[in-house]
Amino acid sequence: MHCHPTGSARLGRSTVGSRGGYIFTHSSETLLLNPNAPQMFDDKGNGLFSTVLLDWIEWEGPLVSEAEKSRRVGLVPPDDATPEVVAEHLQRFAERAWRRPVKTVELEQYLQSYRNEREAGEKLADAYRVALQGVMTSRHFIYLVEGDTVAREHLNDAELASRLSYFLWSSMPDDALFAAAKGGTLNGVGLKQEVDRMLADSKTSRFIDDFARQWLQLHRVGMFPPDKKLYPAYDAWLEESMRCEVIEYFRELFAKNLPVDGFIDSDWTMANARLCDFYGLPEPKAGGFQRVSLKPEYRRSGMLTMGAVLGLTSDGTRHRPVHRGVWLSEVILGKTPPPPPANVPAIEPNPATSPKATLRDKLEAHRNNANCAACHAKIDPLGIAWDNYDAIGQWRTHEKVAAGVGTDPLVNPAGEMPDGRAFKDATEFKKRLLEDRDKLARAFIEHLSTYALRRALAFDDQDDLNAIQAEAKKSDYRIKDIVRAVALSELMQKR
Amino acid sequence: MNIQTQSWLINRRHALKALGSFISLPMLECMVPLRAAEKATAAPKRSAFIYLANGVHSLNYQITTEGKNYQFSRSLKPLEKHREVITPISGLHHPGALSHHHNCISVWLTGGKLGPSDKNTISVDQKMAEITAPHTRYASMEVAITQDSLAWTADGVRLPAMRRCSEIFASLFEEPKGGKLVQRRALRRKGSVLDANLAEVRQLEKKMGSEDKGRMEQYLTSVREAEIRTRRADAWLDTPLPAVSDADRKRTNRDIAATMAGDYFRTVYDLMVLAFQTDVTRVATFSLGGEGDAISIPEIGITESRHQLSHHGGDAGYMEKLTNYDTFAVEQFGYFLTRLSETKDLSGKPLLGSTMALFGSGMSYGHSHGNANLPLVLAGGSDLGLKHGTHLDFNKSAKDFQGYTLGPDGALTTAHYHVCSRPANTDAHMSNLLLLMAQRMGVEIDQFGDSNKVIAI
Repeated sequence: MHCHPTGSARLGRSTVGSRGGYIFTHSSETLLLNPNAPQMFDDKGNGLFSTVLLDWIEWEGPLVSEAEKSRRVGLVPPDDATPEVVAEHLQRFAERAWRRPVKTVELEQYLQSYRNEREAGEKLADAYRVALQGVMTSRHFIYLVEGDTVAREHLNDAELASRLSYFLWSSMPDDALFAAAKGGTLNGVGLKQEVDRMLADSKTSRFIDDFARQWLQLHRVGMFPPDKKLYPAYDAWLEESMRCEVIEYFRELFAKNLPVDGFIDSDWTMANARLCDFYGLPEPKAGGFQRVSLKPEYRRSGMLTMGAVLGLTSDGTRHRPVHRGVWLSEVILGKTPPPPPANVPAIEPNPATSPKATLRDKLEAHRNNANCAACHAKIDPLGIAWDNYDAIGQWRTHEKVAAGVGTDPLVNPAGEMPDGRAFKDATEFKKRLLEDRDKLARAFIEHLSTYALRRALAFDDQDDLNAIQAEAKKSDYRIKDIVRAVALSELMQKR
Repeated sequence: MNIQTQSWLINRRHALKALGSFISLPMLECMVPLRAAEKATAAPKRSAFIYLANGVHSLNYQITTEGKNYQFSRSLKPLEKHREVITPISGLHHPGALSHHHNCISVWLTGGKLGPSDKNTISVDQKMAEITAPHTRYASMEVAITQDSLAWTADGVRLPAMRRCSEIFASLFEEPKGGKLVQRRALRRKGSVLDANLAEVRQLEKKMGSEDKGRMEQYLTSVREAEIRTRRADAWLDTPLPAVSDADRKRTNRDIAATMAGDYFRTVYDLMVLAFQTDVTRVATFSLGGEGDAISIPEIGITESRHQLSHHGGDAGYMEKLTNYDTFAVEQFGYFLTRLSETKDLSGKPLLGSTMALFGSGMSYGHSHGNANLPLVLAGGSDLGLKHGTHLDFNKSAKDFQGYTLGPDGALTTAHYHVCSRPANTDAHMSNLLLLMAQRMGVEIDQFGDSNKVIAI
């Protein structure tokens, strides 16, 4: 498992959250605790709950393995090395750092720094360190440099190796991949073999973490911390568990090579005890994240009804149908709606004397402006479908409204897709999405390609994208096969 | 200065000569020897920018009377004693922030555009720092209690923020590690490495196609800025750190829990005063907290985050708390002004005269993300020619403005929220104010962000 929350055994406050990163360490530090957090101590400093207090921790390190040590052989010259030997070492180091063959002449500036340092009386090791710094502040280390002074359409083998490796491993090529690039076998069957080897490597977990975070916009989880009065169930532990659920779910889809439909619908999810409690699922048997089955009455299936997704599109106080619609459009359908015009009139708060109204009612009242209506008619239904889930993703049938008279109004999640197909709630909405799975797959392919190429896609890329889609369709749009199709595509080899 | 230090400078000059074709101008400015620039220094000019997230409760904040005898609103009341040294400003907005919700904080000091294909532009504090940096040990200081800083580089990269008071103190006043000689050697090496990076690029430039030059420019800017910092740090090694009294050190060099909001705000203000007083820097930005997570103020009974309060949904209790928060933040800003007026700089003059302090938000009506009619107060800087004492109201000067919507009880009605969401005066850009401040700092520009004229104060 790659996510930290492991369930009941841990202290709720021991998470290193994305905000602040405060670790509760000792009762003498209670002053530093957030006053809004659950009170752990009485005014005399005695614990209120039976908890485990960590008072001492010891660790040893750094532990450098033999394998790790062997990676450093030949990179640092001995103290009595001649200038030629120093240059050879620096060249080996640069080939790793710049991820390509390097000619000695390219290192002349850094070797000159080395010589200057030596002439100024520095020891060999100290002078060499300056040359190493130079190699690592060079643009060849900091950037993925592609292309030559003479324009060419395709990447060379070293560039392709780096592109693949940063796509699937978020890191530099390993020895075998370097060797394939150097030996000219990174094409045809050789390329397929390398990509399959890479996809089977545990380093793909970095792709899972990193791509899922960017694709699903997970940096927004917890950006607007939920109101503690409205959502007492929410805490840092739950937030971290929610974030992990999405990533672990994607990891499972990828590992099992399941079809893209899994994004939208499933009868299982990946959850820990905290999430099972939050969703009202039976307590899981083991600690940590695990596959748990879902029944229709739990009202959860696929990514769109996960706490993280419903929460990241809310603002901490209220659910935001428009934000949810924009997110769905961008992430699931691959279409970015145009930005709102500058002169949007203000929404006044509900007068205390008027009947309570749902956000949907207010949005619809607001939409009589023709300029707004054109776009919002397309965006809003995509978000309104999730109105049965509040700002932290809890199921509800009535919307809690602060101001106004009367009872809280009933939620109405029914609507129409932009093409006119009707849905009555989130479950039907998911069915509508799945009726057009070509579109889902296409959006996913485009997100993957953007990530792999590290650039926005252009009209010129359409033919290559079509080819990837045709290839992926052959294997029923299975997720790992789609990633493979992108990695092996013509697009991947173009500058 | 020791000879070895100079030697890498000479190398670097050679490199620069060859690189002239694609290094932009500020590089030339950095070639002015530090000491020479110092000699020509006029009286120091300073600027501070303080950001309050999520707008204000505008019905209790808005000043509705104009001119010299304006009446302070409830939220601004704590500034009444500073009447002669402040100008509350109404009716300004950033066109680029309209309808962009909480992203307004990103363009508050830049006047930039927001969008998938837009890159942010330089913030006004950094524009100022370009000309003040040669005179001070540090170019600028960036503080944010939560989330991000307000400062952006010319490349559209946000500068990192400091949060903890002890960290801020250390960044300004701590002795260099290992002593002067060790520092100098390290800096000299760094300079030599950067020289080599530049020389490598020079070799490449001859062969390079134009399509790659965008990234290259970005890389070069980074190398260039690192060089400037290295060179300045080297020069400053010979100047002893300013003396900080035990009392000042004790007050500011400590960590304050986020639950003690008042103490926290005031201590950061103290650190800004101390930095200006000792002339360690002349430019500072301070975000009281980010749009998503500005801290609560338990000492006055506010346990909600500011963002929660701003989405009050018409709830009377929340609106009252939001007003109390606004008033509290304004009061702490008043503390800053008092400290600036009581403290003298190295030339013996009160800091307030040479310091312009801008307090405000990139939002006005938080509940519906209204980004017009920004709450802004400009203070100080009389030595730089600012004349205060009036309420400067760009709403009133707008053609179609019907006047503030007052109810029978004399209080603003909710119709005022519309003024806070759509600009009454579409020409009244906040960049015009930022341009004024930049010019008074001595920055030689006649345009900043999306300015269309300069404001007169």
